[in-house]
Amino acid sequence: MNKILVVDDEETLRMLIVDTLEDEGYEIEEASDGEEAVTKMTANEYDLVLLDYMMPGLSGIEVMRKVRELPNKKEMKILMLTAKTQKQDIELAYEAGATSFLSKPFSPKELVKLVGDLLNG
Amino acid sequence: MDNKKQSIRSQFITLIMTVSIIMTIGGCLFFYIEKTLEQQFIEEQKMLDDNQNFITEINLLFSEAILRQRGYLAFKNDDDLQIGIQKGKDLGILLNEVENSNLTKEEKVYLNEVQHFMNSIVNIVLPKAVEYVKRDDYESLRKLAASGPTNTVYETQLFLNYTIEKYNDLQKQSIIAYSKQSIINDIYLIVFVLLILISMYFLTRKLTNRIIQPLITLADTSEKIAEGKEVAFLPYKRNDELRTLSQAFFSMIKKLQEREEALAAQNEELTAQQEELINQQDKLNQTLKDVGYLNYALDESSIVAITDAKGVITYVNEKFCQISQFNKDEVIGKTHRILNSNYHSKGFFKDMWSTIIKGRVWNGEIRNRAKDGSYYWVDTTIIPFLDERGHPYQFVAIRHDITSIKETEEQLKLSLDETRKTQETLTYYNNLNHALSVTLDKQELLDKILSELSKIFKFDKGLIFMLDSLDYGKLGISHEHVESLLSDVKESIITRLIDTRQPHIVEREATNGEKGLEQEALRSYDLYVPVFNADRELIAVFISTRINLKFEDKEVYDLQGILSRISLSIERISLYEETERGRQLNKDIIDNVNEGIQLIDTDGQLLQYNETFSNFLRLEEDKKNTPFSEWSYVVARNVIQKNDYIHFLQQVILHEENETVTFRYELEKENERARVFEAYAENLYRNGFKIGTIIVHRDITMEHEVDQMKSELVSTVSHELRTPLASVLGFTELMLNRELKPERQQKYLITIHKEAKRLTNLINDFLDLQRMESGRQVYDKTIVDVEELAKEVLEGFTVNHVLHQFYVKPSAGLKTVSADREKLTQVYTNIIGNAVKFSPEGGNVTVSFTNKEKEVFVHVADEGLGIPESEIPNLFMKFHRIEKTDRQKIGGTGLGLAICKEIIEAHGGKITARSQLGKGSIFTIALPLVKEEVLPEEICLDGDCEENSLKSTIVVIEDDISLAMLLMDELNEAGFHVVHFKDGDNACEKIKKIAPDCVVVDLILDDQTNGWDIIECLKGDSETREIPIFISSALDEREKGIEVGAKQYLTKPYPPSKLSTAILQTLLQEKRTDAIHIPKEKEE
Repeated sequence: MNKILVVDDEETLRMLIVDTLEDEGYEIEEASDGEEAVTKMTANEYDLVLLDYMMPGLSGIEVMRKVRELPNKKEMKILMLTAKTQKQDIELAYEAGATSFLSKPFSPKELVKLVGDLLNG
Repeated sequence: MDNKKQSIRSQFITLIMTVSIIMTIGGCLFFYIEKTLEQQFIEEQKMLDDNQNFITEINLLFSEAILRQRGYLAFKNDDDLQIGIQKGKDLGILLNEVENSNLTKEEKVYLNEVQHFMNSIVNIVLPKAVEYVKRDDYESLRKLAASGPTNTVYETQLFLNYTIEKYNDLQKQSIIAYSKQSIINDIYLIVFVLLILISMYFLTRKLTNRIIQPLITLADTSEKIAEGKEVAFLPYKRNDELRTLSQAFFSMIKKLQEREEALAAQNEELTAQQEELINQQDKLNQTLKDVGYLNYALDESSIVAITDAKGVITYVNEKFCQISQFNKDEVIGKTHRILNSNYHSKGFFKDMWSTIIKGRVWNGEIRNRAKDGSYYWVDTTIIPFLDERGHPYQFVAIRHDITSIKETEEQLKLSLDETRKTQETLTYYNNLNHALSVTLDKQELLDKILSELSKIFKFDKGLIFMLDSLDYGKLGISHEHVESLLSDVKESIITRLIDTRQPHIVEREATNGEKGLEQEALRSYDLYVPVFNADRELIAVFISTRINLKFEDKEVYDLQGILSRISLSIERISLYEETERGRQLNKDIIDNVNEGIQLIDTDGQLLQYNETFSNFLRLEEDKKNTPFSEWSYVVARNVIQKNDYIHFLQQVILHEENETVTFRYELEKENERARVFEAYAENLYRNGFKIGTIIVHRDITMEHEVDQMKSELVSTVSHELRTPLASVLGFTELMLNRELKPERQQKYLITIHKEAKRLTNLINDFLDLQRMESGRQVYDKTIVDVEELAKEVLEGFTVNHVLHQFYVKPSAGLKTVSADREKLTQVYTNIIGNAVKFSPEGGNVTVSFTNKEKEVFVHVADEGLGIPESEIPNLFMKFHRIEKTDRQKIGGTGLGLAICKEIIEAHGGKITARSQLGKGSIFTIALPLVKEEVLPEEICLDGDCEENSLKSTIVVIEDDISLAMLLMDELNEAGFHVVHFKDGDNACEKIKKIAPDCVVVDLILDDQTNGWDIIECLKGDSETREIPIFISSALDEREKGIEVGAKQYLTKPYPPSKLSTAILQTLLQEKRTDAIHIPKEKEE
């Protein structure tokens, strides 16, 4: 069973993502801010991390930078979820090490498909 | 000296002593050895002798004993037997001494045996033998002999003989050894003596070297000195008497040499003196001879005269008579006065006389007169002859005819004068030319021209003035004089010069001022010269005056020539001044534009830049005309994108295409603000070739900041809107696409609802804020009591919040403000809402009030989380949220406080916050108070307005009391006297009575009459028709209002200041009332 970490400061959004993915049978863990995300990503292995961009404290970009610096986390798949959709934001996300990028608002169906693609490819 | 002096004596004694001691010891040693050896030898010999004698004696005794005994045995002679026995006994006695002898052990043992044997012979054998003999038993005797004694006797004899022999040998050997040892000793002695000799030799040598040699050197040296030879001698470097000796010797030599040198020098001097004396003698002889010749020659060549002490001539020679044409008789007895030509002054002769009378020789040139009256020049030397007391008793005058020399000299002097003058003139011309070519200041040039010209042409006064600018240069005249001259006679002078185009001279009598001390009448000459430019236009006039000196034609011609050159210079200067003005203007323009401008040539050299540029890039020193490598580095040093910047510069300088290249860069922070610039480069072409590049730098910090803020805002708003939207859309989709349990559906619906509401709030807040920021928010202001309003708002909170206690601290101070009640409620709700939100643990929320001057302060205090100090300045910014985990769950749009700030500021107030982290926050709203006063229905009717008669009166017809109060406040502030009617009853009549300067009318009034009626009435009456009417209404009836004759139409709501400004402007236009201060019209 694939293990997914969902990072978002918005509780409702986290609920939406978790509900959607749990229905698909994934094992889900949650983090409600950047610090927690870094701690969990450092300590555990995840098949995929869904990471919010704008969070208080450490932003999604900062989280990625920190995690990508670690020796065994270069290949960890990270899907960036964001309401920031400007070109430079997307570029910045990829630069910082995002594997893929999904803009908010998103359709749960779309999310499921993207997650599936990422986990299989 | 450190080392002790080693005296030669001590050295010598030490040496001799050492040798003697060694020799003595050696001798003693040898003697001792020799003696010892000898002693040994003698002792040994003695011992050997003793032994030999001893043995020999034994042998003798033994042999005799045996022989006698045998003789007895043979011959039976009793004597023999007696002697034999006696000898045997003697042998026994002798042998007893064996133990005390020096014999060897073996010998002793053997001899003991011999003793035993002998004893046995004597005591045993012999008696037996004697018995046998007596019995003549020779048979037994032979047996007895054969039993041993014979052999033993024989062996003993052998032994004794051998021992004697042995001692003989030993004796011989001992002698040989002794002689050998003696020889060896002798050899050692010889070696020792040799060694002593050798060491004596070396010692002697050393002694010679150390003492004798230096002494020899000294002796040699002194011999040489005695012979008078040059010697080089230095004192010895050693520590004994020789050193002292050599030092003494050295100093002696030195002294000797010095004395010798002195003697030599003296000698030389004496020789020289002698030679000189001889020379002098020769010379003297020669001189004596020469004097003789000289006397002769003098008489032949010179003019000689001798006078007595009083100057009376006592002797003259032939030459004197020849040149003076006088006979000797004619002059002798006379003085030289007869030759006086009256050429020299009396002082000249007086000087001469005083010189010679003092006994000194006088020399000089004198012009004399001959008898026929012709003059001749003589070079005269007068020699006084002195008596013993030093007084002259006669004078000898020797003269030479220098008439021809004098004439030549005169001529030379004349031509020299001429040359000097020419040279001077040339110098002046040079100076003038120099002034013309280097001077760039017109005034300076004119003054220089005059001063130089006056030197050349010797005029006393001069003036040159320009026709166009009336600049002038002057010499010898006052400014006042010049001014009056220019105003009085300028026209006539110019007219004449333009007509004639020629210089002219006016001759007149000199004025008193010109004459100065001179009493006689003098003539003055004024010269007027026109100065033309290249186009033959008159541009200046030159005037000069000479007193008592005419202008020659040539001078005038020269002057004209010079002036035409001067005109060129003046024109050049004019041109320069014009260019300079233009340049300065351009520079001023360029320096004062807001863009930094720099000009670079194609090689990268920085040709020019303006002040703005150097300010922008913080240039501290002048970098004009410096190469690229120098200035670019300095210019780029504060640029953050340094390398890109230099690359850009390089690119644009090399760039050939004529298209604009731009570059955006930031400077390192200065005063906490990062400045952003945009530079664009334009190529500069001349005749189709690129000659350089202009780079213009524009400060776009403001635009940049605005851009940045905009993009941040867009990004934030986008995020804020998309987040709730994501939930709404997501959950909706889930519900649509999946079969869900009712509970889950319920949960999702609640969430959707919550998020949709959040979205709505956000949009509302955002739109509110946008409206407020753009100034489109309408505030419906009424009189509001801030305390009452706070109580109302808190009531709502009390119902819904159980954790918190809400208090209003009543205050006695003024609390009435003019505000939009709804908006102020929004502010309260927001701030109190925040107080509740950010104290999740509950606590007190207290609203209190204070007053200060014309303001009321509303304080809202909570006991919540508090705000970090660093966040307080940003608190009222849009979407600003404090990113701390303790308040993460607390929602909000992030716009609340920004909205509050807008609302409060629109009310002329201020909102601030104080806080202590963890203890709570206090938000304070400051609002201006409205003075509560009783509104009279009609103020100042009829004659009650006296005190306000100077002010313009305005009638305001408004049924909304609070608005009326606002307007009255504003108009009173603006300096008007205001009369307010709250309805339209008889308004027309009342206005007629008051005759105000202006009327403000609301269109919709409470009762029957409306605004329109009042306007119609006022416009219909000739008395009130001209009163300007301002319509203040919420209706949008602008066109109709203007149509019916209103001056302006103000649509409610409007800021009261707009009304007062409009009224002021109107009144100003109509009455030109200067008494009223005119505020600047506010921008819409």
